[in-house]
Amino acid sequence: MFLEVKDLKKVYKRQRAVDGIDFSLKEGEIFGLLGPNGAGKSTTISMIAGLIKPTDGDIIVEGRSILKSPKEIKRMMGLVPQEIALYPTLSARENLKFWGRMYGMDSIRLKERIDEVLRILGLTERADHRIDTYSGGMKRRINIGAALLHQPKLLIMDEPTVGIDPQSRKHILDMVLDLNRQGMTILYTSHYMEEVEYLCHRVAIMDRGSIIASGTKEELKAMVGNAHKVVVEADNFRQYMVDTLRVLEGVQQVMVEKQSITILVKDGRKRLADIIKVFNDDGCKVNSVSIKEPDLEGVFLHLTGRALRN
Amino acid sequence: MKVLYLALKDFKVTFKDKKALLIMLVMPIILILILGFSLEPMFRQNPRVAKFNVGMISYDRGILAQNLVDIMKGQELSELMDVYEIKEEDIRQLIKDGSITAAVVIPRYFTDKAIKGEDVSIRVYGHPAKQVSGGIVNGIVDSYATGVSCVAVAIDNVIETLMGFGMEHQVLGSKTGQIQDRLVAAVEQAGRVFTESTQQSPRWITGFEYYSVAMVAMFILFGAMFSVFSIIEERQDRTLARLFSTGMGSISLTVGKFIGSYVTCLVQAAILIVFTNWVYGVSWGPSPWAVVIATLAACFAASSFAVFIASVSRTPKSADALQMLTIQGMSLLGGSMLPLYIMPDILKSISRFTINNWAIRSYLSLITGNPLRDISQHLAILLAIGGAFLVLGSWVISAGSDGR
Ligand SMILES: Nc1ncnc2c1ncn2[C@@H]1O[C@H](COP(=O)(O)OP(=O)(O)OP(=O)(O)O)[C@@H](O)[C@H]1O
Ligand SMILES: [Mg+2]
Repeated sequence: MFLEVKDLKKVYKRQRAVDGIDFSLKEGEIFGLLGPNGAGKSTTISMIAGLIKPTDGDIIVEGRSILKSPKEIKRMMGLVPQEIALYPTLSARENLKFWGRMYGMDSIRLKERIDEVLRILGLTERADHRIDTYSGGMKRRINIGAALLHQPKLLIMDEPTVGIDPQSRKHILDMVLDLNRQGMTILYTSHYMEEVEYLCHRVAIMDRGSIIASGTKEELKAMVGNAHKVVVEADNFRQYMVDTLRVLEGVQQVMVEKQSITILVKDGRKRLADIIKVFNDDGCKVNSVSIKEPDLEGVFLHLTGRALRN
Repeated sequence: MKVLYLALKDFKVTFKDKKALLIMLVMPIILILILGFSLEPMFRQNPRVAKFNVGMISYDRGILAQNLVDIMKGQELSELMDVYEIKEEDIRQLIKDGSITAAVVIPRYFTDKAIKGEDVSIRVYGHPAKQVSGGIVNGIVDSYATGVSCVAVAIDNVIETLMGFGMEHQVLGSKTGQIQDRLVAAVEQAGRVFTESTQQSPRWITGFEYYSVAMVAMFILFGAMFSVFSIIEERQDRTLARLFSTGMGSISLTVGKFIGSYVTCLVQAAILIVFTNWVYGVSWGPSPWAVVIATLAACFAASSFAVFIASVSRTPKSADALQMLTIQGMSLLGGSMLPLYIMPDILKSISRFTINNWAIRSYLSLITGNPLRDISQHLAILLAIGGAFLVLGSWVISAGSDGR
């Protein structure tokens, strides 16, 4: 195993942010850590990157504990923090140069790599502009670039696409796939299940400090059986109707989000009529209905009864 | 190496920050102008001795008497005293009512007697309560008389020696005129030497000079803090975590921040010194190297102090508050606002605990023409203050870090 996380814990005064988790990464894979806000993803990553000390447990990279030889291991990792961690008044090039230096790169190699990374990021033309003149998506890309310069064996990305336009997101996701194809091992966290589904070979789903499920996408989806996700958009939905829906045959979970009611149900197609009937009987106006094949969102719903995004 | 790149980055960031530049450079330049101008009279009227009046009576028309009168009335002493011709019978009254603080009486035949080496003395009257000004007049007259008698004795000896060789008295008599001329020239020379030496000893500092020094001493503290406090900004901007993720430790971080601050501080001081010199015409003393060395010491103290303050600040708010409190406090007590001279003794002793005090004293001493060795003690104190704060600050930081 390339990276092993063993019974990792981080306890703050009022909170068990990470409550004893285990997972491991194989060399060359993209591993997804999926979970809602506050699940403990960033805390886990901060411990792996050696930024905070675990309360308990250990992290082993290529057979060495990060707690015992942090410096050497930090050198082979690249961390893309959740928040943009750049100097706003410096240009992109200056930022990259600085971070390359911090990773101990010499000037000749650094110069080459900066040009290369800027090209990968698609920001060569704007390289000499100050970061604070950049759009959110451009900042995100430089934020990633700063972790790529020294060609780390392990790239750790903490929600690298939060709050950006679809185009930049697409660019970033494809870039991640490219890097992986070139051999980089990647630990990717997100609360967007589409991203994790698109990128990752294996996934761990995290909630409230624990890993509630892990495996390949297929393994995870199998957990929900042949259930479907039925999403009904309706006016005048009333809370007591949840109970009515829950007792319907095959229904596993019901979740309400404003006017959108998500029902996880076995053999969705067969049960559709029953579901619509509940709405009609109670005088609810149904605006739309959709049936989806199970996805990771559905897995999360199945396991927790809550939505991944909140 | 990493540490130097960190320092360089901080330097760049600080000098790109318009608000920081405003405070580090524009504010002191404006304050020097305002304070230098408006408080200039304080420096003129408040020399250690106020200007005083001297009465002068000369019963001798000879060249040596006239020479002394000229020296007393001369340009060089005009800043210090006004000289009036008075009558001897009025001396007592004038001194009593305070119109004059001292009177000088040159007796009849002073020149002749002095040249012949006979006993003759200039009398000085003074008010017992005004010892300082009386002392100054006495000093001037004394040193003039000494000059005269030295030359007189020398000539006397020459004449006696020549006579010992059997030279005719008549021949000698014909040379007396020549000898007399030489004597006068020698005395004039002595007079010049004297007035030059009074000029050199404690010369007054102008308001511009004082406040240039005072503001440099104060604002390098701001410059130092801006740079070190970037550590708090880095915590907010998350770049600090990223720095730690590259394998940087808290010791390297502290050293980097310190070096960045030190360089920032030095450049800031250099800009201010050169600017005040070129634009305000402030002379920073005869030796640029001495000024450089004083600046190295002052900035070292400022940056170390900043490291210490940053180390004990937990939040950006407390950092800001501590920064304002300590800089303003030290500046007020240390002579950056009120001149050190006019402080009451109790403040003067408290002042010894401030960086400003030692920086200001060092620079002022250099400006008045003192050599570097005269301020070696001040510089040692600055280095000691700096060393102490640096050690304390590093200790607090490494004790508080989360095992990074
Ligand atoms: N320094 C801290 N002190 C106390 N509690 C903390 C600290 N850091 C995180 N927590 C708590 O630990 C929990 C997990 O936080 P974490 O940032 O790891 O979540 P996350 O999965 O990254 O969420 P998000 O998707 O919002 O980034 C949260 O409830 C958070 O409030
Ligand atoms: Mg997070």
